Amino acid sequence: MKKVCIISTHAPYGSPSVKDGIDTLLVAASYGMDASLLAMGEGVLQLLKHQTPDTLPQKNTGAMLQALEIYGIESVYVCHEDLEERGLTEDDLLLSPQLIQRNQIPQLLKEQDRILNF
Amino acid sequence: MNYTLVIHGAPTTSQACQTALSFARAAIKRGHTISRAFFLRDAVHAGSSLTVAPQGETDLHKEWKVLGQQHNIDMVICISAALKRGLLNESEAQRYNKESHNIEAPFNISGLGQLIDGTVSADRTITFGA
Repeated sequence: MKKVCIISTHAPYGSPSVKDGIDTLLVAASYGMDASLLAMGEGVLQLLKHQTPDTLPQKNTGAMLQALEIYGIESVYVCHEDLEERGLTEDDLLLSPQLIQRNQIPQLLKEQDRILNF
Repeated sequence: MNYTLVIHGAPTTSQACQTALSFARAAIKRGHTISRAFFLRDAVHAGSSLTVAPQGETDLHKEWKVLGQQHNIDMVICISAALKRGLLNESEAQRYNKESHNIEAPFNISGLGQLIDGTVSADRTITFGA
């Protein structure tokens, strides 16, 4: 089973990046990959609780993330410093992701067979 | 080395398609193989056979088409990204009852499964972002 990591660095709703990343993550898992998500920079915002984009012509990507468990995706990483820089804590996030220090990210990526950026 | 290229940016408003094309040519020149180019997000526009490049500008659709044909690159246009942008091949045009289509061989329309398949089957995957 190959390890595939999706790196997501954009805020949700301003562009389709987050949705495209989650779509790819779900397809990777359904193809039997050991798929994980790494949210960095503005990407940490996609994990915020209580997203209500009801008036936008897009899917609620926060709700899509809730489906990760059904697809067997347990590895969701969030860069701790990027979270703190935005005044957020673990309690603000969906899914109880694993917080990872910025200096640990190279090691996480080194362990992957493939990385896709969104 | 066998590469899969993943291209995100539009041919008209980003350099992604041009940079990926230059990379592909350089890699092939050095004896490497490009097995698949997966166009997703706004890069799907590179697949449109109805674009007309202004004089003095590169016709990226044509350049990719020629390179793909010469080197047998599987050039995949992401179906979900394509349909919502008005890019269809003949069978999708029929399916959705549209009057015309603009995706033709050597480009083909397929899903994200081909992105994952191409990513894990190649020795290297390189993303050309928006």
